[in-house]
Amino acid sequence: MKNYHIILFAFLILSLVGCENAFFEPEPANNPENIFENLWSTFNSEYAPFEERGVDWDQQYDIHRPQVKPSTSNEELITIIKSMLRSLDDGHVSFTTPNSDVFYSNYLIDQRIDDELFDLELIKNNYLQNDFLKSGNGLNTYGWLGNVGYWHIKAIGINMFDINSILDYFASADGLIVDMRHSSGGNFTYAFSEFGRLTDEKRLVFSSKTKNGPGKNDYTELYEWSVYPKGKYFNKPIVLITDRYTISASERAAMAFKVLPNVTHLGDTTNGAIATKIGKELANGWYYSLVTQKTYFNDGNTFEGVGIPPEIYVKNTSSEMAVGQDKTLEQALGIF
Amino acid sequence: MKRATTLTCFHLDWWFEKSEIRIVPHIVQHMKKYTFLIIAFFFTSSLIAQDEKHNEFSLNWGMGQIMRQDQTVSPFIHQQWAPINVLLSYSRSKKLDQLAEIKFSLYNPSIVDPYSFNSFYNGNETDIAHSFKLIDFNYALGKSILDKNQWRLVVGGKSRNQIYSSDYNFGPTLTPSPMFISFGLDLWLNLRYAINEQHYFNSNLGLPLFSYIYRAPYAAQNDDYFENIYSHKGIKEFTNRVKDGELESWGNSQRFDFDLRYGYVLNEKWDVGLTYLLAMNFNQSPTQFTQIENVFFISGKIKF
Repeated sequence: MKNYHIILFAFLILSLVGCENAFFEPEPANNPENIFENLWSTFNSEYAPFEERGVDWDQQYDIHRPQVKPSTSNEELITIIKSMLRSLDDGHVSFTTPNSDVFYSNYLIDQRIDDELFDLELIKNNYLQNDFLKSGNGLNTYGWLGNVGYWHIKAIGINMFDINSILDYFASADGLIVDMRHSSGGNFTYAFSEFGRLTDEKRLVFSSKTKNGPGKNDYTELYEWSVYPKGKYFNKPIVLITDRYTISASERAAMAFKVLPNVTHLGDTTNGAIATKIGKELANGWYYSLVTQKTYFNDGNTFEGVGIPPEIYVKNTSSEMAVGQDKTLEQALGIF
Repeated sequence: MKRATTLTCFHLDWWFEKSEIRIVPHIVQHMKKYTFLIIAFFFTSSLIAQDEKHNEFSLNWGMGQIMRQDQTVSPFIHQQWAPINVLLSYSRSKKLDQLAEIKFSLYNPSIVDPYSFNSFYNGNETDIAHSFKLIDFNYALGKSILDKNQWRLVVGGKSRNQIYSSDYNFGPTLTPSPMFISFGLDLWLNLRYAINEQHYFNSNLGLPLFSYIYRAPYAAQNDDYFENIYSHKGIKEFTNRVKDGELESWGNSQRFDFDLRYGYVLNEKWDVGLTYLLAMNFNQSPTQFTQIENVFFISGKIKF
């Protein structure tokens, strides 16, 4: 092969590889001021529930932006960002930096407040007498409390495919306790698609709309989410238990239970982080998550930022837990 | 042909005998045996195939580089060189020219090295890189409009199909499968230039006439997204997304697909070669998406 063929071939390839950068949008720069600006402006254009959480984001900018300077250290910038995100108090907003605890905007989760007021091990040992079943990668725990069924749902995912077998297991029960305390969410569609045996008719649960542009009012149309009857109806009384750590898709599942006429909701208010979150990254590799939806219960009210309130408010105490008692569960049992 | 084969054999024998590197004798014996088998296969196959060949099948493996900026998910350019790029292609050249290709690429780019963090829900974790899985499958049909001296030019159309599935991992938060699905029809140009009997260049160029594209929604996940995955059945989820796609004009979607192959004819049956592939993909709806892929393949081709 003559040399000019090789030269031509190499020139063609190098010229094509070399001009790539001309096609991309400029990336946010990796310095303290630009990192802050990138984070603030992404929330400003993409975060949905400012109103529900009563946060003036421009005001947060005015408070925090002057604190960021070209010489701001990583540690200082982390503190400033955490302070700004704290104003949202949102269980779906997190901030992750290397080799440290993930920061949660929601004060309760971040500081583990009342985390110890629920303990599944205590229920297994002291109430189920260690006679229980697990399914769905360990996300379902269920067993008998006398004539009443007990089912703890740790998260919402493929474990929902087991609803049918769990309801069959409790076919002879007087009723069912669905314990969603410390249920950490997941993908709510697994709960809704498998919910058929728990309802005898189509019931609207909630509606939602999602950001579809950077403007303040850029949202999709409201989309209604319902549950539909399917299979043999489970027509027994159900007591739903929630706490402040019932969050995200688990709150959507809790709302689905709440629209059923045979359900009594007991416990503590849920976390109030119902709308969908997405992840993002910053120029230096730090991660954060933010919320891009607004959600409304079937009556038009939103629980975003406030949580789903129970009909019967009950909250365990540390002293009761210390002696192996779950008063909330006992009160739920007393309903049957 | 025979001369080349003999030379190859001679060189290998000479190398085995003269090499300063001391190789365990039984390995040398095995290498000799396999070398003999390969050469015998080439030789016999070339004897069997005396007719004019119309069909070609090639297997390509290569190092590829991806550069992607998907503003739906991140404002940053995710790029990586990765060795998992496989391309299978079949071509047939008679009255009409046909080319069928399927390519798979896997990239795991990240803008920083993975690090550890401690989450409330899962305890100590180590971040993982993003994951881009690219499947391209195309079928082109064309007719030769120039076949003179060393040049051959084919013009036709190409059915271009791409499924790009991605997982973006942002520490404790995963943004799953912002898929990019594209079906379209391209103008297809194939140009072959034979330098001499043993060396040639072959190039393909694809320019889109129209495209039907599904992309993740503006905020990566919306209610339509959740409705699409509601069935939890892979095929149905995929077809739901395809149904949500849209015909897109040149204003919203541009592509440029180009490859240039240098081929060396080993014998009537076999070629080897080097291929450079450039695929540029730009989309503006609902956000700016830019992806440039460069892949350098080595390839083997059988003609039959």
